[in-house]
Amino acid sequence: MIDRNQFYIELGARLRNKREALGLKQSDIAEAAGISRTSLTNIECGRQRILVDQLSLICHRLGVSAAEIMPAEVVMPKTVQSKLAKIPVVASFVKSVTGEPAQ
Amino acid sequence: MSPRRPRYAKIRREVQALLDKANVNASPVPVEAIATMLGARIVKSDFNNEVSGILIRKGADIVIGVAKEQSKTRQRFTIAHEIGHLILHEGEEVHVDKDFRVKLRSQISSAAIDVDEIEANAFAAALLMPEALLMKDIKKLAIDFDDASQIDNLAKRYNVSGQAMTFRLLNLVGE
Repeated sequence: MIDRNQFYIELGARLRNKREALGLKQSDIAEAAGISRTSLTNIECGRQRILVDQLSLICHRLGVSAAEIMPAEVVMPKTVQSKLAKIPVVASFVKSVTGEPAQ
Repeated sequence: MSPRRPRYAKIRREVQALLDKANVNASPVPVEAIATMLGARIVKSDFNNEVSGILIRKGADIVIGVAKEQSKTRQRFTIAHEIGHLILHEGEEVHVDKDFRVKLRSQISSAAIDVDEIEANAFAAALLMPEALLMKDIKKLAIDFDDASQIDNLAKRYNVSGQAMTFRLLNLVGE
């Protein structure tokens, strides 16, 4: 399962990075979302859990979709593939299906 | 070098074409039938929770291996994710997927993000929870995002996990 604290820390960092990349101030974003600057500080640090409507407003102000800002999509470096193919359950499955060992 | 960006517009187009071809106009989406329609054979196997899905392409033979020890909703997501790879990504004869739904991407490793996985996830979400159907349901139900039971009901209707539905709703609302 997702570690919830880590999720909000990550989400906050992504929001802050995006804001800074655009050269926007915390007050610009807080105003757009109808929250206090202190709340935004806490959200960016992962101390406060953001509400969906606030996230939607902030994303709109940042010009990104919530999908892009969410940290939950995954991610595996390609290089891992060759290692995964060597896992016994994978190797035996591939062999049973194709009649040949995986590369 | 920065990685290429996920092709969300292409994904939307490909999913819509597939839903049209399979004549899907109600939930839950028959994901196994869609895989079969594409010529893929679904083989459920116990992967000991080490991997979730395997896509094998060998000439005309296409096999989607699904971890049968995982939940039914997870299995559906796995099949949809592999269909995404099948349609979007050529190449690899054997592609193995492990825990693709719930790993967090760390800031440090974000340069090494595998865009293919992000695309396959986006494809799976769009296929299992078609935008047109879902938006209709949301309007009908006047969804309150604070009400977890409503999201659970929607998740049941589409035969997906509550988490998958939550992310899908966030994405659609945020767009």
